[in-house]
Amino acid sequence: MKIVTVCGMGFGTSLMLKMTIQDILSQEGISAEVEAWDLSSVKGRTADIFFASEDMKSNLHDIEGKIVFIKNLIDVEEVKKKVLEALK
Amino acid sequence: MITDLLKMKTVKANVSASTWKEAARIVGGLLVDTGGAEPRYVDSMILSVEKYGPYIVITPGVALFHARPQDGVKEICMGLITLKSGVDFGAGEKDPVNLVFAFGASDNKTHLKVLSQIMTLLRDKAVVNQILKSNSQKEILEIIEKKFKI
Repeated sequence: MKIVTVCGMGFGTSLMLKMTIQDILSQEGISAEVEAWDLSSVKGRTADIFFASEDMKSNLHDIEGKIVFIKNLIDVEEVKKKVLEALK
Repeated sequence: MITDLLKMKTVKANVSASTWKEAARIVGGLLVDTGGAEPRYVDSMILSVEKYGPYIVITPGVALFHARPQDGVKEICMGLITLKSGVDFGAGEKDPVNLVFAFGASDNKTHLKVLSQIMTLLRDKAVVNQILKSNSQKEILEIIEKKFKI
């Protein structure tokens, strides 16, 4: 299982989201690889699930794979709910 | 540590700004004035929002400006301002924003630690409200130091 978090530059929000998702996965005892990419790295590459801010929706239309949008990037409850749902 | 980066000269309370760009210039200016980043870093912070959208509004009311290390970071640095009245980023229900960070990352390890501390800080709503109510940088720094005191 490969999970990728995406943001404009791969340096801020994608890393925050990555850390939050890693914490959730380890709490739930789920093993998966989580990587943070910038937008330009996404083209032509794939992963099982992508996570990004909802404000990036218009930049992420040609993604190959499942994509989940997060509204509040630091809200553990929202991220947890969406991660577990996506993994079903 | 976040408390090593946020100092009297990198924090400002009750700033007046009428647009998100003006807020970016003010908080980015704190990084430039304290030697953490080159002026072009502030331009890159603004450009990234124009290019990728307002996703730097990470949670309602809070923006975290940043660009890439190669866009002019001299050393890891952070600035924080609170706004007298909130500005819109076009971020829907996450607007208006009244707490604005600017962050310049150099090496990856400290960078992750600081980002994780920003999340810890922002997840504590009582602390965020105290910061927003503060009238001076001294007060803001005391609140943050208290939060991270072991």
